[in-house]
Amino acid sequence: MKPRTWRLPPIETYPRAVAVVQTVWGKLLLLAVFALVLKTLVNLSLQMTVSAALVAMAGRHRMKVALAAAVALLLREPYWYGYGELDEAILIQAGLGDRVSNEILRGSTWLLCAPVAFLALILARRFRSHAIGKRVVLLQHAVCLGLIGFASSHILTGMPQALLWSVTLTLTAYFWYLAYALVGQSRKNPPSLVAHFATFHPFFAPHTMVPFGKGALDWLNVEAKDTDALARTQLKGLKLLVWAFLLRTLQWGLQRVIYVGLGVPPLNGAFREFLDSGQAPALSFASLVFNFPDQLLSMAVMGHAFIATARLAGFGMLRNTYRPLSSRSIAEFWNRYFFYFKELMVHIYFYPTYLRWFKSYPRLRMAFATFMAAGVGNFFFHFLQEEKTLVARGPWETALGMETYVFYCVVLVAGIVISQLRGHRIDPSAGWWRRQFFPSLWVAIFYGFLSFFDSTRVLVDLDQHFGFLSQVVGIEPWIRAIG
Amino acid sequence: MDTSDRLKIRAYVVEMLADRGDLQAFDDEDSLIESARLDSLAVVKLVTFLESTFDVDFGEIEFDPQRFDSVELLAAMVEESRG
Repeated sequence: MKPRTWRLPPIETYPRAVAVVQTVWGKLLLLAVFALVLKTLVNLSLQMTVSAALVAMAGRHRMKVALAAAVALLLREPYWYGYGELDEAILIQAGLGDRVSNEILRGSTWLLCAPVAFLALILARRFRSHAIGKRVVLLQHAVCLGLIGFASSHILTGMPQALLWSVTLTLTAYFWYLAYALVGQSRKNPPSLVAHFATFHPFFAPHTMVPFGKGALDWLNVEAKDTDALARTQLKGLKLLVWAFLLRTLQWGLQRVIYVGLGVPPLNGAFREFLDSGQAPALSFASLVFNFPDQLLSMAVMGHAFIATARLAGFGMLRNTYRPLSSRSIAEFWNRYFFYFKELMVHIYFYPTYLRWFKSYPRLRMAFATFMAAGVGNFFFHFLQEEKTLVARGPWETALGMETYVFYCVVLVAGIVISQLRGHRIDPSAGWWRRQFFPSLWVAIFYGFLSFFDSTRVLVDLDQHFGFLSQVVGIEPWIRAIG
Repeated sequence: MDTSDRLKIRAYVVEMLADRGDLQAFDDEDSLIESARLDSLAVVKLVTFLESTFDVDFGEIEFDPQRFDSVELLAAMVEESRG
């Protein structure tokens, strides 16, 4: 027995639909429908739709218009990375709270950061054959950690100190975009600087540290080359957006039933209550169970909305989430759940490690590269996200406080390595239950358990996480008895 | 490049696709990564395959995941590694 898969109709293959989208009225209708549906899913929907439409119309000047759209987005929300609060904290720490405004600090920061990024890209190209140039992303890591260490040492004072923190945190927010661009600069045929800068703040995926669509080389590789391809890409975008809307509706319905109807507390709320009172609220087990599908749906909706908008602009990018629950292995799920985060880790950590280390030991080679990507890279990404703690407590204490995330990374790495080394060949003689259902169920249970350590506050001790878990699954009395 | 080498590459790609339950036909120029038929784990397997079968050294030639997108591009990489 095998359940039938249901799909939206493949409108991008209907010649009549493709032809209609190429007419003026067809384009207007497409944009109107797109804007309406997108409005139900994300903020800034109108600006995203208009940007995508302008980029699509720009033809061979697409990347220039994409850069203009990125700048427009940044001008509209210059404090996107929590900069408002951060700048205030930095100014107070430097003793400038009442003398320098956030606007002056932010403006000065952008004026400093843009030339730094420009210079970094020029130098990466100029020295691409040099030993350091071949490890340019490693150098970027060293510079970033050096800046964080320097800023937290408080050697500087007053405005220079405030600017140092502000520039450092801005560079950390764009760290992964710059990493892709630096890698792109070492290629034989690198994209233009305009193309690189356009990808630093994607008009279709605002306010995220994860580069959706990867770097400029990847954007250019998937852009529609003619009007017919553009129309097909746009229809695929519309279809993906409709799918996102259906998933959002499903999520809304489930949340109404579970959180409102049954009175199950959302996991973060239940965990907060446990931290305050030492007692997990009733129905916390249901919170734990429902958190995973809720998280899956949130990820799918957000990623689909972003990629659909990129497609509307003519970039035929791959989906961010693709049928994660059909994964038969832990490694496969990691690939299907948050594709662009996984790709980032693979490009920046896995490939360079795999190409250089333990070539004569195939299993160790694979395991070590996986450790660097899913472990070290993953941890570093989340370390950079703790910007408020970095400013308040410095890098060392921030890293020490992330023991829960270290645990998450260790278990994830172990799961992926075991799954990769075992392989997952399809046995054609096995029935659907044995071939698909049970492996997928096991994978879902693994990630369902692990998601608790990822979705709650990572700076809360691991002890507290296990304390909550032991109460929720009812083994706390046994643990007390053991002592 | 030797036709038998191209056939070896093609046979390996066919086997990798079959492992994923993908039995669809494809041409040597067809995109495999950008079309999502193969993923980054497949790139890793292809790296190992090219190293062990054709002695390709990625310290000598440029490593770019986009160069693993089709049988034709893979064959070109083998050709380049032989100077």
